[in-house]
Amino acid sequence: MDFRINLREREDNKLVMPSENEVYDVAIIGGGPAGMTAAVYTLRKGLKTALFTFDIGGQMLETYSIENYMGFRFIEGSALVNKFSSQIKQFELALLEGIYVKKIMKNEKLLSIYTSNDRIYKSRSVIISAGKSYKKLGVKGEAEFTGKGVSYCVTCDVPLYKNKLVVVVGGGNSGVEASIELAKIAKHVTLIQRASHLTADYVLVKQFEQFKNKQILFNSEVIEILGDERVRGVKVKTNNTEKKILEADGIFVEIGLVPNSKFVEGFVNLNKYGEIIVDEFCRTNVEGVFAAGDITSVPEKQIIVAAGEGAKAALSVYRYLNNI
Amino acid sequence: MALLDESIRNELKEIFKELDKKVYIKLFISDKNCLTCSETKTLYTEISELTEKIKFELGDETEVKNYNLMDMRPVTIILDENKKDYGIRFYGIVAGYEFSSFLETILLVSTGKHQLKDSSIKFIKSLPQNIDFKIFVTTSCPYCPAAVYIGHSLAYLSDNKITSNMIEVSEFPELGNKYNVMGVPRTVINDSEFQEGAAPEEVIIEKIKKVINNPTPQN
Repeated sequence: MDFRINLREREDNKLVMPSENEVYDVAIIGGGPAGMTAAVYTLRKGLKTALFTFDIGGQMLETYSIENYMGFRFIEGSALVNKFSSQIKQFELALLEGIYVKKIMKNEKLLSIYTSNDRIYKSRSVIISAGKSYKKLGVKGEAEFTGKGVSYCVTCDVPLYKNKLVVVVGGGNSGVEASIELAKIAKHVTLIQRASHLTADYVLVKQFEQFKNKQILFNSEVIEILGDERVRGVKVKTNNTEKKILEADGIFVEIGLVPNSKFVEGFVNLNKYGEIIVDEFCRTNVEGVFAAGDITSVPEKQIIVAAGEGAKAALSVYRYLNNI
Repeated sequence: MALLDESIRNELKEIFKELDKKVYIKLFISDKNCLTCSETKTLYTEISELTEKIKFELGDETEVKNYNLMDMRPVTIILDENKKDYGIRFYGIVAGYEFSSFLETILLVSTGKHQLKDSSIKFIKSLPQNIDFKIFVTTSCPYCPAAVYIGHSLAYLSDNKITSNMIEVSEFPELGNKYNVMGVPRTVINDSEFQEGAAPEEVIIEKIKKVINNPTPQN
């Protein structure tokens, strides 16, 4: 039995709510390492800053162990989030959490940020740092049953599937790791892989193959998730033809990540992966619009890279606003 | 053997320096079919040995009705120096990530310091009816403490209008099944509204408003 101590910072914060009547110097979209670092830099430059995000921390929240963020030989993801967030809370930052940005519009020099709670905020510049999120299957039933049997967090939900039937989609490292954790506790695990072999590391594949309560379906994909008030099964297609229904209580989707850039499609240039194309100053093709972190075309998706890019974007914004 | 090792004890001693007023941990256990009652009792005994500010006591069954508890053990209540009940409940052991939820609640009740926004506090102070949260968690869920923190803080500040129940669902699978808990955290509000995932406080406040606007009889 383990006991984890990881408390949020408890000093007073100076956060405020953003206002529709204000014109911000910079609006930051996304509260992961890039967005939070950018906020610290813009606030220290005295820029009036608003941050719009669904959550504080982004992918760091679900990273158990971080051993390559300098200054910490080992730190849990949620602990690093707390350290980041305590650093932004010392400033008068206008923070809106729990929402998504629906679109950005530009009129002359002013940018409008449309949020999912039907507000419109104005800013002279924008940093897009909305990161990546789990790739969805994009099949019928997936959205409806998310949290009702469709899961994207294995460590969270494994204990709920004791003696149950589960399906894991994805034969990469995360898919096979999930399958191993589930096989220890579930009645049966079916791993569904689109390719004809597993792409996970050899040691993981060997480990998974030792379980008896498992099957692997190659050349297969889930085409529908079925259920009533919760998941009851999946429809699977194999070799493009055969279709069958597998009984299942849970589906774990482990097929990688996608950039959260849908809301700026057609507004800024994206590459073929859906990442925002930026130059070495974090500039997009739209003047006054910058981007940083995992959502951009910058290679290597790492916390330390995202934080560095966030700093860079913030300083570029500062120069842009002051015509330097 | 002690549950808490030396390094955790030292860390806790540091944290407990921030405690202001005395806090009571009240634990109800059962000797029948209880997975974690004895560990929970040991855990609180060890914690209360680290500071004068935390008092641990076992509740007896005659007191259960005073606290309107569900029939699941262990259940822990955090009371203030005057033994005032704020409607904060932990069903199941506060291990893993939930240990942090537990410590934050102790700090909350002892110091009164919280991180909710003024707009949320204003809203819950004027609630027209009682609100019940069932926050389903597992001890291996890194998002879950955020959901518990919001629920327990709202309960603490609500002048007894809100009861916030953390439920470690792997210990109570029947209740998990009843509420169709297939992923955590899952917050159930008055048995009628549901929230998947660790939603920010604004989202929870919106759900409470929905409950108030569409009242359904409480179980």
